Amino acid sequence: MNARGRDPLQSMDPRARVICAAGLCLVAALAQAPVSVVPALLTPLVVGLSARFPFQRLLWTGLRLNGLFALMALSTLPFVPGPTWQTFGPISVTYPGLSLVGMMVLKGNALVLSCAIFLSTMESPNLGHALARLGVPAKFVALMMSVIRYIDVLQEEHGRMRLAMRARGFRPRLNWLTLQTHALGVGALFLRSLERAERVAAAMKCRGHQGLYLATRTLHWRRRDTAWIMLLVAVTAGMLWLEWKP
Amino acid sequence: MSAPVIEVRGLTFAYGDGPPVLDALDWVVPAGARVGVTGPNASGKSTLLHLIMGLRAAQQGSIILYGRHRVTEGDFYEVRARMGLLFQDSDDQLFCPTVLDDVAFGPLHLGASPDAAQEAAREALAAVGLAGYEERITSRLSAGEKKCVALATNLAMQPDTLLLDEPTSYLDDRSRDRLLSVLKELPATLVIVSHDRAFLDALTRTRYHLEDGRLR
Repeated sequence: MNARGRDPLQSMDPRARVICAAGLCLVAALAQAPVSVVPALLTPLVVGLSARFPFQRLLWTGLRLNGLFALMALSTLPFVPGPTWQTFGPISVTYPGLSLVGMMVLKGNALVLSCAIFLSTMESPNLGHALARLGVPAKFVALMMSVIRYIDVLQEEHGRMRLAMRARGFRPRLNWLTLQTHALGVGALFLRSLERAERVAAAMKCRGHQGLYLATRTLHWRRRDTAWIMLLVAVTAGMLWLEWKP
Repeated sequence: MSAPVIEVRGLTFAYGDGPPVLDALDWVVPAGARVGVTGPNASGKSTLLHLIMGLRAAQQGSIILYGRHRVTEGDFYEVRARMGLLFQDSDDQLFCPTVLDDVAFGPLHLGASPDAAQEAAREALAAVGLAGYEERITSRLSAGEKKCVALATNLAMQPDTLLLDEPTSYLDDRSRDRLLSVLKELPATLVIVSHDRAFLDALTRTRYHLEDGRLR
Protein backbone atom coordinates (compact mmCIF):
# COMPACT_ATOMS: atom_id res chain seq x y z
CA MET A 1 0.00 0.00 0.00
CA ASN A 2 1.47 3.34 -0.87
CA ALA A 3 -0.35 6.63 -0.96
CA ARG A 4 1.21 7.71 -4.22
CA GLY A 5 -0.02 4.75 -6.22
CA ARG A 6 -3.56 4.38 -7.54
CA ASP A 7 -6.29 4.53 -4.96
CA PRO A 8 -6.02 1.10 -3.32
CA LEU A 9 -9.74 1.00 -2.54
CA GLN A 10 -11.09 1.84 -5.98
CA SER A 11 -8.92 -0.78 -7.62
CA MET A 12 -10.09 -3.44 -5.20
CA ASP A 13 -12.57 -6.08 -6.36
CA PRO A 14 -16.00 -5.56 -4.69
CA ARG A 15 -15.92 -9.16 -3.47
CA ALA A 16 -12.57 -8.61 -1.74
CA ARG A 17 -14.02 -5.54 -0.03
CA VAL A 18 -17.04 -7.44 1.24
CA ILE A 19 -14.81 -10.23 2.54
CA CYS A 20 -12.47 -7.76 4.29
CA ALA A 21 -15.32 -5.84 5.92
CA ALA A 22 -17.15 -9.01 6.97
CA GLY A 23 -13.96 -10.63 8.31
CA LEU A 24 -12.93 -7.63 10.37
CA CYS A 25 -16.45 -7.08 11.73
CA LEU A 26 -16.90 -10.72 12.67
CA VAL A 27 -13.64 -11.05 14.56
CA ALA A 28 -14.05 -7.65 16.23
CA ALA A 29 -17.58 -8.50 17.32
CA LEU A 30 -16.57 -11.84 18.80
CA ALA A 31 -13.34 -10.68 20.48
CA GLN A 32 -13.20 -10.82 24.28
CA ALA A 33 -9.98 -8.90 24.96
CA PRO A 34 -9.72 -5.17 24.17
CA VAL A 35 -6.24 -5.53 22.71
CA SER A 36 -7.50 -7.92 20.01
CA VAL A 37 -10.04 -5.36 18.76
CA VAL A 38 -7.35 -2.78 18.12
CA PRO A 39 -6.19 -4.30 14.78
CA ALA A 40 -9.78 -4.14 13.49
CA LEU A 41 -9.73 -0.45 14.29
CA LEU A 42 -6.28 0.22 12.88
CA THR A 43 -6.60 -1.70 9.59
CA PRO A 44 -9.48 0.37 8.13
CA LEU A 45 -7.83 3.51 9.48
CA VAL A 46 -4.56 2.78 7.67
CA VAL A 47 -6.33 1.71 4.48
CA GLY A 48 -8.54 4.80 4.63
CA LEU A 49 -5.56 7.10 5.12
CA SER A 50 -3.67 5.54 2.23
CA ALA A 51 -6.75 5.87 -0.01
CA ARG A 52 -7.20 9.48 1.14
CA PHE A 53 -10.64 8.69 2.43
CA PRO A 54 -12.42 11.93 3.40
CA PHE A 55 -12.63 11.21 7.12
CA GLN A 56 -14.42 14.49 7.79
CA ARG A 57 -17.46 12.93 6.09
CA LEU A 58 -17.49 10.35 8.87
CA LEU A 59 -17.17 12.93 11.62
CA TRP A 60 -20.89 13.52 12.14
CA THR A 61 -21.73 9.80 12.06
CA GLY A 62 -18.88 9.11 14.45
CA LEU A 63 -20.02 11.80 16.87
CA ARG A 64 -23.58 10.54 16.89
CA LEU A 65 -22.44 6.96 17.36
CA ASN A 66 -20.21 7.83 20.28
CA GLY A 67 -22.91 10.02 21.76
CA LEU A 68 -25.12 6.95 21.74
CA PHE A 69 -22.33 4.98 23.45
CA ALA A 70 -22.04 7.69 26.09
CA LEU A 71 -25.75 7.33 26.80
CA MET A 72 -25.41 3.56 27.00
CA ALA A 73 -22.38 3.91 29.27
CA LEU A 74 -24.37 6.11 31.64
CA SER A 75 -27.14 3.55 31.79
CA THR A 76 -24.78 0.55 32.13
CA LEU A 77 -21.99 1.69 34.41
CA PRO A 78 -23.91 1.90 37.71
CA PHE A 79 -25.25 -1.62 37.31
CA VAL A 80 -22.08 -3.65 36.73
CA PRO A 81 -20.98 -5.31 39.96
CA GLY A 82 -17.32 -5.71 40.93
CA PRO A 83 -14.45 -3.92 42.63
CA THR A 84 -15.11 -0.16 42.82
CA TRP A 85 -12.97 2.33 40.91
CA GLN A 86 -14.62 5.55 42.07
CA THR A 87 -17.82 6.66 43.74
CA PHE A 88 -19.94 9.57 42.56
CA GLY A 89 -22.57 10.17 45.23
CA PRO A 90 -24.86 7.14 45.30
CA ILE A 91 -23.30 5.72 42.09
CA SER A 92 -20.17 3.64 42.15
CA VAL A 93 -18.25 2.89 38.97
CA THR A 94 -16.56 -0.51 38.90
CA TYR A 95 -13.54 -1.80 36.99
CA PRO A 96 -15.57 -4.45 35.11
CA GLY A 97 -18.04 -1.69 34.18
CA LEU A 98 -15.27 0.44 32.74
CA SER A 99 -13.85 -2.39 30.68
CA LEU A 100 -17.33 -3.29 29.38
CA VAL A 101 -17.94 0.27 28.23
CA GLY A 102 -14.44 0.44 26.77
CA MET A 103 -15.09 -2.71 24.73
CA MET A 104 -18.41 -1.33 23.53
CA VAL A 105 -16.78 1.85 22.26
CA LEU A 106 -13.85 0.00 20.66
CA LYS A 107 -16.01 -2.60 18.93
CA GLY A 108 -18.63 -0.13 17.75
CA ASN A 109 -16.07 2.15 16.20
CA ALA A 110 -14.17 -0.74 14.62
CA LEU A 111 -17.36 -2.04 12.99
CA VAL A 112 -18.46 1.36 11.68
CA LEU A 113 -14.99 2.20 10.42
CA SER A 114 -14.59 -1.15 8.61
CA CYS A 115 -17.95 -0.79 6.87
CA ALA A 116 -17.36 2.88 6.05
CA ILE A 117 -13.95 2.30 4.50
CA PHE A 118 -14.55 -0.96 2.65
CA LEU A 119 -18.27 -0.83 1.81
CA SER A 120 -19.50 2.75 1.70
CA THR A 121 -16.82 3.71 -0.81
CA MET A 122 -18.34 1.64 -3.63
CA GLU A 123 -21.52 2.31 -5.56
CA SER A 124 -24.34 0.27 -4.08
CA PRO A 125 -25.00 -1.78 -7.29
CA ASN A 126 -21.48 -3.17 -7.02
CA LEU A 127 -22.24 -4.33 -3.49
CA GLY A 128 -25.24 -6.23 -4.86
CA HIS A 129 -23.17 -7.88 -7.58
CA ALA A 130 -20.45 -8.78 -5.10
CA LEU A 131 -22.96 -10.40 -2.74
CA ALA A 132 -24.53 -12.34 -5.62
CA ARG A 133 -21.10 -13.66 -6.65
CA LEU A 134 -20.26 -14.58 -3.07
CA GLY A 135 -23.21 -16.94 -2.95
CA VAL A 136 -25.73 -14.82 -1.06
CA PRO A 137 -29.22 -16.14 -2.00
CA ALA A 138 -30.47 -14.60 -5.27
CA LYS A 139 -33.77 -13.56 -3.76
CA PHE A 140 -32.04 -11.56 -1.05
CA VAL A 141 -29.83 -9.82 -3.62
CA ALA A 142 -32.83 -9.06 -5.84
CA LEU A 143 -34.64 -7.55 -2.85
CA MET A 144 -31.62 -5.49 -1.94
CA MET A 145 -31.22 -4.20 -5.49
CA SER A 146 -34.91 -3.21 -5.59
CA VAL A 147 -34.52 -1.35 -2.30
CA ILE A 148 -31.51 0.50 -3.68
CA ARG A 149 -33.46 1.41 -6.81
CA TYR A 150 -36.73 2.45 -5.21
CA ILE A 151 -35.74 4.08 -1.93
CA ASP A 152 -35.29 7.42 -3.73
CA VAL A 153 -38.63 7.05 -5.52
CA LEU A 154 -40.33 6.38 -2.19
CA GLN A 155 -38.64 9.37 -0.66
CA GLU A 156 -39.74 11.59 -3.55
CA GLU A 157 -43.28 10.27 -3.28
CA HIS A 158 -43.25 10.95 0.43
CA GLY A 159 -41.92 14.46 -0.25
CA ARG A 160 -44.65 15.15 -2.81
CA MET A 161 -47.29 13.93 -0.40
CA ARG A 162 -45.94 16.18 2.36
CA LEU A 163 -46.05 19.13 -0.04
CA ALA A 164 -49.63 18.34 -1.00
CA MET A 165 -50.58 18.12 2.68
CA ARG A 166 -48.90 21.42 3.49
CA ALA A 167 -50.50 23.07 0.48
CA ARG A 168 -53.82 22.21 2.08
CA GLY A 169 -52.94 23.78 5.37
CA PHE A 170 -51.42 20.83 7.26
CA ARG A 171 -49.12 21.86 10.10
CA PRO A 172 -47.69 19.13 12.31
CA ARG A 173 -48.71 19.63 15.91
CA LEU A 174 -48.76 17.42 18.95
CA ASN A 175 -52.36 16.28 18.61
CA TRP A 176 -54.62 13.51 17.44
CA LEU A 177 -55.22 15.08 14.00
CA THR A 178 -51.50 15.14 13.25
CA LEU A 179 -51.16 11.48 14.22
CA GLN A 180 -54.14 10.62 12.05
CA THR A 181 -52.72 12.53 9.11
CA HIS A 182 -49.36 10.79 9.45
CA ALA A 183 -51.08 7.41 9.61
CA LEU A 184 -53.01 8.26 6.46
CA GLY A 185 -49.76 9.29 4.79
CA VAL A 186 -48.01 6.04 5.70
CA GLY A 187 -51.04 4.05 4.53
CA ALA A 188 -51.12 5.88 1.21
CA LEU A 189 -47.40 5.30 0.76
CA PHE A 190 -47.85 1.57 1.40
CA LEU A 191 -50.70 1.37 -1.06
CA ARG A 192 -48.84 3.28 -3.75
CA SER A 193 -45.76 1.13 -3.21
CA LEU A 194 -47.82 -2.01 -3.58
CA GLU A 195 -49.33 -0.75 -6.82
CA ARG A 196 -45.93 0.28 -8.09
CA ALA A 197 -44.53 -3.13 -7.19
CA GLU A 198 -47.22 -4.70 -9.38
CA ARG A 199 -46.33 -2.43 -12.29
CA VAL A 200 -42.63 -3.13 -11.83
CA ALA A 201 -43.30 -6.86 -11.80
CA ALA A 202 -45.18 -6.38 -15.09
CA ALA A 203 -42.22 -4.49 -16.55
CA MET A 204 -39.89 -7.30 -15.50
CA LYS A 205 -42.13 -9.85 -17.20
CA CYS A 206 -42.08 -7.75 -20.37
CA ARG A 207 -38.35 -8.14 -20.43
CA GLY A 208 -38.34 -11.87 -20.12
CA HIS A 209 -38.00 -12.19 -16.33
CA GLN A 210 -39.07 -15.62 -15.09
CA GLY A 211 -38.03 -15.37 -11.46
CA LEU A 212 -34.23 -15.56 -11.63
CA TYR A 213 -31.80 -12.83 -10.78
CA LEU A 214 -29.01 -12.70 -13.34
CA ALA A 215 -25.93 -10.58 -12.67
CA THR A 216 -25.08 -8.31 -15.59
CA ARG A 217 -21.49 -7.69 -14.77
CA THR A 218 -18.42 -9.77 -14.87
CA LEU A 219 -16.08 -8.97 -12.01
CA HIS A 220 -12.36 -9.41 -12.39
CA TRP A 221 -10.43 -10.89 -9.50
CA ARG A 222 -6.80 -9.85 -9.63
CA ARG A 223 -3.62 -10.79 -7.83
CA ARG A 224 -3.85 -7.60 -5.82
CA ASP A 225 -7.21 -8.77 -4.45
CA THR A 226 -5.67 -12.02 -3.29
CA ALA A 227 -3.00 -9.91 -1.58
CA TRP A 228 -5.76 -8.00 0.23
CA ILE A 229 -7.31 -11.21 1.46
CA MET A 230 -3.90 -12.43 2.65
CA LEU A 231 -3.50 -9.18 4.55
CA LEU A 232 -6.92 -9.66 6.09
CA VAL A 233 -6.08 -13.21 7.08
CA ALA A 234 -2.84 -11.98 8.67
CA VAL A 235 -4.68 -9.27 10.61
CA THR A 236 -7.42 -11.58 11.85
CA ALA A 237 -4.84 -14.25 12.74
CA GLY A 238 -3.03 -11.57 14.75
CA MET A 239 -6.30 -10.67 16.48
CA LEU A 240 -6.97 -14.30 17.33
CA TRP A 241 -3.41 -14.69 18.62
CA LEU A 242 -3.81 -11.61 20.83
CA GLU A 243 -7.05 -13.11 22.07
CA TRP A 244 -5.67 -16.51 23.03
CA LYS A 245 -1.97 -15.95 23.64
CA PRO A 246 -0.85 -17.45 26.93
CA MET B 1 -49.38 -12.02 -46.90
CA SER B 2 -48.08 -12.44 -43.34
CA ALA B 3 -50.47 -12.71 -40.41
CA PRO B 4 -51.37 -9.48 -38.59
CA VAL B 5 -49.18 -8.72 -35.60
CA ILE B 6 -52.14 -8.05 -33.34
CA GLU B 7 -55.64 -9.41 -33.71
CA VAL B 8 -58.18 -9.28 -30.89
CA ARG B 9 -61.70 -10.67 -31.09
CA GLY B 10 -64.53 -9.89 -28.71
CA LEU B 11 -62.15 -8.72 -26.00
CA THR B 12 -63.97 -7.84 -22.78
CA PHE B 13 -62.33 -6.65 -19.59
CA ALA B 14 -63.58 -5.10 -16.36
CA TYR B 15 -61.80 -4.20 -13.12
CA GLY B 16 -63.41 -6.13 -10.29
CA ASP B 17 -67.18 -5.82 -10.42
CA GLY B 18 -67.05 -2.48 -12.25
CA PRO B 19 -68.46 -1.78 -15.69
CA PRO B 20 -66.49 -3.24 -18.60
CA VAL B 21 -63.58 -1.06 -19.67
CA LEU B 22 -63.31 -2.93 -22.93
CA ASP B 23 -66.55 -4.27 -24.35
CA ALA B 24 -66.37 -7.01 -27.01
CA LEU B 25 -63.57 -5.15 -28.74
CA ASP B 26 -62.34 -6.20 -32.21
CA TRP B 27 -59.06 -4.87 -33.54
CA VAL B 28 -56.45 -5.79 -36.13
CA VAL B 29 -52.99 -4.27 -36.51
CA PRO B 30 -51.19 -5.51 -39.63
CA ALA B 31 -47.43 -6.06 -39.66
CA GLY B 32 -45.48 -2.87 -40.36
CA ALA B 33 -48.42 -0.60 -39.53
CA ARG B 34 -48.05 2.57 -37.48
CA VAL B 35 -51.24 3.29 -35.61
CA GLY B 36 -52.26 5.85 -33.02
CA VAL B 37 -54.85 5.34 -30.30
CA THR B 38 -56.58 8.26 -28.61
CA GLY B 39 -59.36 8.36 -26.07
CA PRO B 40 -60.46 10.04 -22.86
CA ASN B 41 -58.80 9.32 -19.53
CA ALA B 42 -59.67 5.95 -18.02
CA SER B 43 -61.10 4.72 -21.32
CA GLY B 44 -58.96 1.58 -21.17
CA LYS B 45 -56.07 2.47 -23.47
CA SER B 46 -53.35 1.28 -21.11
CA THR B 47 -55.46 -1.73 -20.17
CA LEU B 48 -55.66 -2.74 -23.83
CA LEU B 49 -51.86 -2.61 -24.15
CA HIS B 50 -51.42 -4.62 -20.93
CA LEU B 51 -53.86 -7.26 -22.15
CA ILE B 52 -51.95 -7.59 -25.42
CA MET B 53 -48.71 -8.10 -23.49
CA GLY B 54 -50.37 -10.72 -21.30
CA LEU B 55 -49.93 -8.68 -18.13
CA ARG B 56 -53.62 -8.93 -17.31
CA ALA B 57 -56.12 -11.61 -18.21
CA ALA B 58 -59.25 -10.71 -20.17
CA GLN B 59 -62.64 -11.99 -19.00
CA GLN B 60 -63.70 -12.83 -22.53
CA GLY B 61 -62.40 -12.83 -26.08
CA SER B 62 -59.29 -14.01 -27.82
CA ILE B 63 -55.89 -12.48 -28.40
CA ILE B 64 -54.08 -13.65 -31.52
CA LEU B 65 -50.52 -12.38 -31.81
CA TYR B 66 -48.23 -13.20 -34.74
CA GLY B 67 -50.93 -15.56 -36.01
CA ARG B 68 -51.25 -17.69 -32.85
CA HIS B 69 -53.77 -17.73 -30.03
CA ARG B 70 -52.18 -16.56 -26.77
CA VAL B 71 -53.72 -17.78 -23.56
CA THR B 72 -51.17 -18.97 -20.99
CA GLU B 73 -48.24 -17.12 -19.44
CA GLY B 74 -45.95 -19.39 -21.47
CA ASP B 75 -47.57 -18.21 -24.73
CA PHE B 76 -46.71 -14.64 -23.82
CA TYR B 77 -43.01 -15.26 -23.01
CA GLU B 78 -42.47 -15.76 -26.71
CA VAL B 79 -44.47 -12.61 -27.52
CA ARG B 80 -42.55 -10.44 -25.05
CA ALA B 81 -39.29 -11.41 -26.69
CA ARG B 82 -40.52 -9.76 -29.92
CA MET B 83 -42.92 -7.09 -28.71
CA GLY B 84 -41.91 -4.21 -26.45
CA LEU B 85 -44.05 -2.00 -24.20
CA LEU B 86 -42.99 1.49 -23.18
CA PHE B 87 -44.67 2.18 -19.85
CA GLN B 88 -46.36 5.45 -19.05
CA ASP B 89 -44.28 5.98 -15.91
CA SER B 90 -40.58 5.32 -16.49
CA ASP B 91 -40.02 4.68 -12.78
CA ASP B 92 -42.15 1.57 -13.20
CA GLN B 93 -40.13 0.41 -16.15
CA LEU B 94 -36.62 1.04 -14.87
CA PHE B 95 -36.07 -1.21 -11.91
CA CYS B 96 -32.29 -1.67 -11.79
CA PRO B 97 -29.87 0.59 -9.91
CA THR B 98 -27.75 1.55 -12.92
CA VAL B 99 -28.65 2.36 -16.52
CA LEU B 100 -26.47 -0.40 -17.98
CA ASP B 101 -27.97 -3.09 -15.72
CA ASP B 102 -31.43 -1.98 -16.70
CA VAL B 103 -30.90 -1.97 -20.45
CA ALA B 104 -28.98 -5.26 -20.33
CA PHE B 105 -31.72 -6.97 -18.28
CA GLY B 106 -33.87 -7.89 -21.30
CA PRO B 107 -31.15 -9.44 -23.50
CA LEU B 108 -29.74 -11.25 -20.47
CA HIS B 109 -33.10 -12.84 -19.70
CA LEU B 110 -33.54 -13.78 -23.34
CA GLY B 111 -30.41 -15.89 -22.97
CA ALA B 112 -27.56 -13.60 -24.05
CA SER B 113 -24.21 -13.89 -22.26
CA PRO B 114 -23.35 -11.01 -19.88
CA ASP B 115 -20.87 -9.60 -22.40
CA ALA B 116 -23.31 -9.82 -25.32
CA ALA B 117 -26.07 -8.30 -23.18
CA GLN B 118 -23.83 -5.39 -22.25
CA GLU B 119 -22.89 -4.88 -25.89
CA ALA B 120 -26.58 -4.83 -26.90
CA ALA B 121 -27.25 -2.38 -24.08
CA ARG B 122 -24.48 -0.03 -25.21
CA GLU B 123 -25.78 -0.07 -28.78
CA ALA B 124 -29.35 0.63 -27.65
CA LEU B 125 -28.18 3.52 -25.45
CA ALA B 126 -26.21 4.99 -28.35
CA ALA B 127 -29.32 4.70 -30.54
CA VAL B 128 -31.32 6.90 -28.18
CA GLY B 129 -28.46 9.37 -27.83
CA LEU B 130 -27.41 8.32 -24.33
CA ALA B 131 -23.96 6.87 -24.98
CA GLY B 132 -21.85 7.39 -21.86
CA TYR B 133 -24.81 7.01 -19.50
CA GLU B 134 -24.01 3.37 -18.72
CA GLU B 135 -22.84 3.80 -15.14
CA ARG B 136 -25.34 6.51 -14.19
CA ILE B 137 -27.70 5.80 -11.30
CA THR B 138 -31.17 5.41 -12.80
CA SER B 139 -33.08 7.17 -10.02
CA ARG B 140 -30.97 10.31 -10.46
CA LEU B 141 -31.88 10.85 -14.14
CA SER B 142 -34.31 13.50 -15.39
CA ALA B 143 -37.77 12.48 -16.62
CA GLY B 144 -36.68 12.88 -20.26
CA GLU B 145 -33.55 10.81 -19.75
CA LYS B 146 -35.54 8.11 -17.95
CA LYS B 147 -37.97 7.92 -20.87
CA CYS B 148 -35.11 7.48 -23.33
CA VAL B 149 -33.48 4.81 -21.15
CA ALA B 150 -36.85 3.05 -20.96
CA LEU B 151 -37.01 3.12 -24.75
CA ALA B 152 -33.45 1.74 -24.87
CA THR B 153 -34.47 -1.17 -22.61
CA ASN B 154 -36.95 -2.07 -25.33
CA LEU B 155 -34.61 -1.47 -28.26
CA ALA B 156 -31.94 -3.70 -26.70
CA MET B 157 -34.33 -6.63 -27.16
CA GLN B 158 -34.69 -5.75 -30.86
CA PRO B 159 -38.48 -5.83 -30.92
CA ASP B 160 -40.34 -5.99 -34.22
CA THR B 161 -43.35 -4.37 -32.56
CA LEU B 162 -43.43 -1.55 -30.04
CA LEU B 163 -46.43 -0.48 -27.95
CA LEU B 164 -46.03 2.99 -26.46
CA ASP B 165 -48.18 4.22 -23.58
CA GLU B 166 -48.26 8.02 -23.46
CA PRO B 167 -44.64 8.32 -24.57
CA THR B 168 -44.55 12.13 -24.45
CA SER B 169 -45.95 12.67 -20.96
CA TYR B 170 -43.49 14.58 -18.70
CA LEU B 171 -41.20 15.33 -21.67
CA ASP B 172 -39.90 18.76 -22.60
CA ASP B 173 -39.68 19.78 -26.27
CA ARG B 174 -36.11 18.63 -26.74
CA SER B 175 -36.65 15.18 -25.25
CA ARG B 176 -39.88 14.87 -27.21
CA ASP B 177 -38.12 15.70 -30.49
CA ARG B 178 -35.37 13.22 -29.76
CA LEU B 179 -37.92 10.49 -29.04
CA LEU B 180 -39.72 11.40 -32.26
CA SER B 181 -36.62 11.09 -34.40
CA VAL B 182 -35.64 7.73 -32.84
CA LEU B 183 -39.13 6.30 -33.45
CA LYS B 184 -39.24 7.63 -37.03
CA GLU B 185 -36.16 5.63 -37.92
CA LEU B 186 -37.27 2.48 -36.13
CA PRO B 187 -38.19 -0.41 -38.47
CA ALA B 188 -40.98 -1.76 -36.27
CA THR B 189 -44.75 -1.97 -36.08
CA LEU B 190 -45.82 0.87 -33.80
CA VAL B 191 -48.90 1.28 -31.63
CA ILE B 192 -48.90 4.66 -29.92
CA VAL B 193 -51.39 5.62 -27.22
CA SER B 194 -51.22 9.38 -26.78
CA HIS B 195 -53.07 12.64 -26.21
CA ASP B 196 -50.34 14.44 -28.15
CA ARG B 197 -51.98 14.97 -31.57
CA ALA B 198 -48.91 16.52 -33.21
CA PHE B 199 -46.79 13.56 -32.09
CA LEU B 200 -49.31 11.11 -33.53
CA ASP B 201 -49.53 13.11 -36.77
CA ALA B 202 -45.77 12.91 -37.18
CA LEU B 203 -45.58 9.15 -36.66
CA THR B 204 -48.82 7.40 -37.54
CA ARG B 205 -51.12 7.11 -40.53
CA THR B 206 -54.05 5.28 -38.99
CA ARG B 207 -55.86 6.64 -35.96
CA TYR B 208 -58.27 4.87 -33.60
CA HIS B 209 -60.40 6.36 -30.90
CA LEU B 210 -61.22 4.27 -27.83
CA GLU B 211 -64.42 5.23 -26.07
CA ASP B 212 -67.13 3.29 -24.24
CA GLY B 213 -65.14 0.08 -24.56
CA ARG B 214 -64.96 0.13 -28.36
CA LEU B 215 -62.40 1.27 -30.91
CA ARG B 216 -63.52 3.48 -33.75
